[in-house]
Amino acid sequence: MYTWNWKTGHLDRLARYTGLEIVGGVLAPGKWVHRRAHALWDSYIHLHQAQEHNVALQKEIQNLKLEVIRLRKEAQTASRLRKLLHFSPPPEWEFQGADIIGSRIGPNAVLQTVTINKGSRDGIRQNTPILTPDGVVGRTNQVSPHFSTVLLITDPNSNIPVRGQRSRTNGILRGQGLRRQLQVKHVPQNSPMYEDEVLVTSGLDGLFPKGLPVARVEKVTISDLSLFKDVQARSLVDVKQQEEVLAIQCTKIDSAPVQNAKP
Amino acid sequence: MRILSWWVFFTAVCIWVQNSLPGIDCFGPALLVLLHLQRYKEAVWLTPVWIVINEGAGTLAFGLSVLWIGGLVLVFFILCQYLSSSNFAFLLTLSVLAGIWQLATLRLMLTLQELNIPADQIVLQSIQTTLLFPLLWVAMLTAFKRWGQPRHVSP
Repeated sequence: MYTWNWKTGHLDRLARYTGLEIVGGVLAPGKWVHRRAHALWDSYIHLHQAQEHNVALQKEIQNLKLEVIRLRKEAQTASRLRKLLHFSPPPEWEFQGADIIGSRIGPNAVLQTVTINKGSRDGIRQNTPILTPDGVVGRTNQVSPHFSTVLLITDPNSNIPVRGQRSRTNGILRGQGLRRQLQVKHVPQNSPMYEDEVLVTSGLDGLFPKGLPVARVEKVTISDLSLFKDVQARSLVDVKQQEEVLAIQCTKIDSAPVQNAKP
Repeated sequence: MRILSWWVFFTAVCIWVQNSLPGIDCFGPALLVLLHLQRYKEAVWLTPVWIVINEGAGTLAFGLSVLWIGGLVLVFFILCQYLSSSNFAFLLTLSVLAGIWQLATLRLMLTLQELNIPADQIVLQSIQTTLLFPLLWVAMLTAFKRWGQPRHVSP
C-alpha cells in the first residue's frame, strides 16, 4: 500500500482532500471567533478611537514595508544590471493574505509547519512562497481546496538558495529546528559574508522570487577542516507571533537576466 | 443521531487538543478505550475517519497512522491476554509501549521518506505520548461513559 501510494499519490490526495479539509473546517471557525472577539475588544471596549487609528497605521506600515522591500530590490538590481542591455523586466508579484489557523496537528506532523486558510481554490499551489512584511516564512507543502500547510524555513528539510545583501555571496539556508539558528551552507572560505548582513532569496531555485529578505547573519566562523565557512543566521520572522501571512503568486521569475542580454 | 453528533463533537474537540499540543494523538487512545468498552462497531467505522484526519493534517506520506493505530490495537489485544484492561498496570504498560511504538514508527517512516528531523524532537514526542496517554485514557473513559453511551431502548 505504501509503495503504491508512493508511486501514485492517490492516498495522499485522498487524505489531503478529506483530512486537511476537516481539520481546517474545525479550526477556522474557532480562530475566526477568537479574532472577532479580540477585534471587538480592541476596537470598541479598549480605547475605541486610538485602537482604530493604530490598526490603520499598522496596515499602512505593513504596506510601506512591502514597498520598501520591492524598491530596495529593484534599486540594487538596477545598479548592477545598468551596464547590460535588454535585461528582462522585474516580475509582477501578487500578494494574497491568509490567516494562520493551526500549527502541527497530530503525530504525523513532524515537520515544522503551520496551517493557513487558503488552498488550491484560491490559486495556492505546492511550493508557493509564504512571507510577512518582515521576511520569508516558508513555502506551502500540502494543499487542499481551502487550506494549506506551510513548511517553515526553520525546518531541517527546508533549503532555500540565498545571497548576502551586501556581500552578494550565495549559499543555501537550511533550518535546524524551531528555536534554533539557521545554517548557511556552501559558503566558500574565500568569499565574503558579513555578520549582521541580511540574507535575501537568490531566486536560483525557481520557487522564490529574487530579493526577499529571509534571515540575518549572526555568526561567521572559518573552519580549518572544511572548504566552507560556518555561517549561523536567525530568521527575520518569529512565526509564533504571526497571525496573518502573505502568499506570493508570481507568474514569471527574473532568475536569468544575463542570458537575455545581447552581446 | 445523538451518538453521531457526539462523535462529531468529540472529533472536533480532539482536533483542537491536537492543535494545542503538537505531536499528541487523541484518536489512538480513544480507539483503545472503545475496544476496552467492547464497542467494536463504533471502533470499526471511526478508525478510518480518524486515520484520514491524522494523515491529512500530517506532513508525511500516507501510512504512518495505519501503522500507529494497527500497532496500538495489536499491543492492546496482546496485553489483554495477560492483564485485565481495567488494571492500572495494564494502562501503565500500554502507555510505555505506545511511546516506544510511536518512536519506532516515526523513525521508520522518516527513514523511508529520507526526511531529516532532529532525534531529540522524536524522542520528546514519544515521551510526551507516554506521559499523556494515561490522562487521555482516563478522560476519555469518563467522557464516553457519561456522554458517549448509545441509548438502549427497552423492548
